[in-house]
Amino acid sequence: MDVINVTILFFAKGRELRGQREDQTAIISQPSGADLYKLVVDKFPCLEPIRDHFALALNEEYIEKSDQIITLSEGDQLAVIPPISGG
Amino acid sequence: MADDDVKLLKEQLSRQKEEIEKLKSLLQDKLKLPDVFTSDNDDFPTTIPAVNQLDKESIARYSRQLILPEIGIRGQLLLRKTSVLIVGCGGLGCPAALYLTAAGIGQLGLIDHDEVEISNLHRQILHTEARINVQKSTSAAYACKQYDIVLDATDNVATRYLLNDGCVLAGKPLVSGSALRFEGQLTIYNYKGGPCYRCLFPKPPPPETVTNCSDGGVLGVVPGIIGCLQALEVIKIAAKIGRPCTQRLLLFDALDGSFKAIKLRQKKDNCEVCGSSPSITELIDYEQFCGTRATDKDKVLTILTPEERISVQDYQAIVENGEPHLLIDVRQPVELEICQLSQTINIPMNSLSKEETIKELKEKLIPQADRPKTSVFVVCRQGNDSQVAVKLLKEKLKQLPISIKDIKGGLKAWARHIDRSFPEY
Repeated sequence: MDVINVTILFFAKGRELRGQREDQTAIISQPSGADLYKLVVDKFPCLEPIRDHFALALNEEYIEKSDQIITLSEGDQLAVIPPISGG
Repeated sequence: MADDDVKLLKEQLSRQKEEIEKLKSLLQDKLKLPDVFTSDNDDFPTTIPAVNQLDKESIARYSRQLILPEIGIRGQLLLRKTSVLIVGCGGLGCPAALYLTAAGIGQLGLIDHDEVEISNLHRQILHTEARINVQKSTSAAYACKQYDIVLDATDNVATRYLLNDGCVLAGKPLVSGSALRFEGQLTIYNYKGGPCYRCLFPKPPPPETVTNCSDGGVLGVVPGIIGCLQALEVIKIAAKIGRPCTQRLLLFDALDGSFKAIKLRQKKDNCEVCGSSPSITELIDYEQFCGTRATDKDKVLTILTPEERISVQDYQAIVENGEPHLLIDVRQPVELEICQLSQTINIPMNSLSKEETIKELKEKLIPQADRPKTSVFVVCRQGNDSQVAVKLLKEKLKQLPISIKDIKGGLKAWARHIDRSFPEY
């Protein structure tokens, strides 16, 4: 199965847990939306505490946790976006 | 005690409980709270005088926005007709309220915090004296229905779910903003087919993963900017102009000086509250749902037994008597720069379990001839981390002949009970 290099952007709690704003990782090229959520946590186990509590966006578009296949391309940006609740 | 006495007491207790329930129900009747989502009869000042033209003073006041073709007289009259509820009067709510008032919004409702207490009423002008002790969700949800637009400027997860559900049930757009440290988020929920909060985040986060402003910090300008953006979105909805930020999540990164707009999904057909067959059709207990209080106030932990703790008064006596001891402050170095007690050793929480830290500490604690048993005290900002630290140190240092206690209430208690000039932050 093809593997694609993507940039992961971390926001809010994701940034706090990871300790950095972005990173690179290699992910299979055609995961389902639901698998992509799992793969990101597998690649970055520090996100485990917020496993079910963030939104994922591919090139600034929200990814649904569904069976729908997502086609990744080299250099894509995946954003990990937990909600902020402070104010 | 004889069995008969126990039985008698139990019976008395049960009678008293019944009596309390009766009194509560009587009180509810007296307050005559209308049904949240069906009644229009209320004590909220919702009638905005109908205006179909602007007077000379209003024209002068709003002139710079009146000459914008998108606003004009039409838009200004729409703003005048619109009522907005701002929930949370902190970093987000204050700028939003200022700009909305300045822009000529017809009516603003302001709520701060969750419990209706008499001491709230001087600032929580939406609640009334008659509603003291009334379930806060009733009061807040009732409020959602009374306004055209609701602005979420709150500081905690439970209230965010409450407002989301309240707005979905009342069919009102929710202009949601949030901020922490150097980051901000903005979107409009439940508007024009866009998602609600639950569509995106169906499960509340575990409380221990939620960082609040009092622990994480926040730069004031950041909620200032997000609050202003919330005011802007309200004006766009009210004046029916532009492209409101629904189905989009705006991410603001202050350190990077950048905004990102994430395109969101439409509303989720199987969403528990806004979907086609919702399972949530009335408000629930949001503190229970989120497993946390509807406030960003720090909780007070009790991990240690009373014997494992010392009061600030007793610690002061130890210092004054010159009793030998070791004081460990487990806050971050940046916090010690703000304030610290004298003769403190700093071992931040995150380095407490490191082997080298423990090794160094053990060397300091080797029994001396003149003091066979060393007293160790652990302090932090308010007495939660210090308890966790004592538990950990007891385990790591269990072979040593030492006593380890935490200072109850931390430096906050020191500032309140011992040294009034000591800073609190």
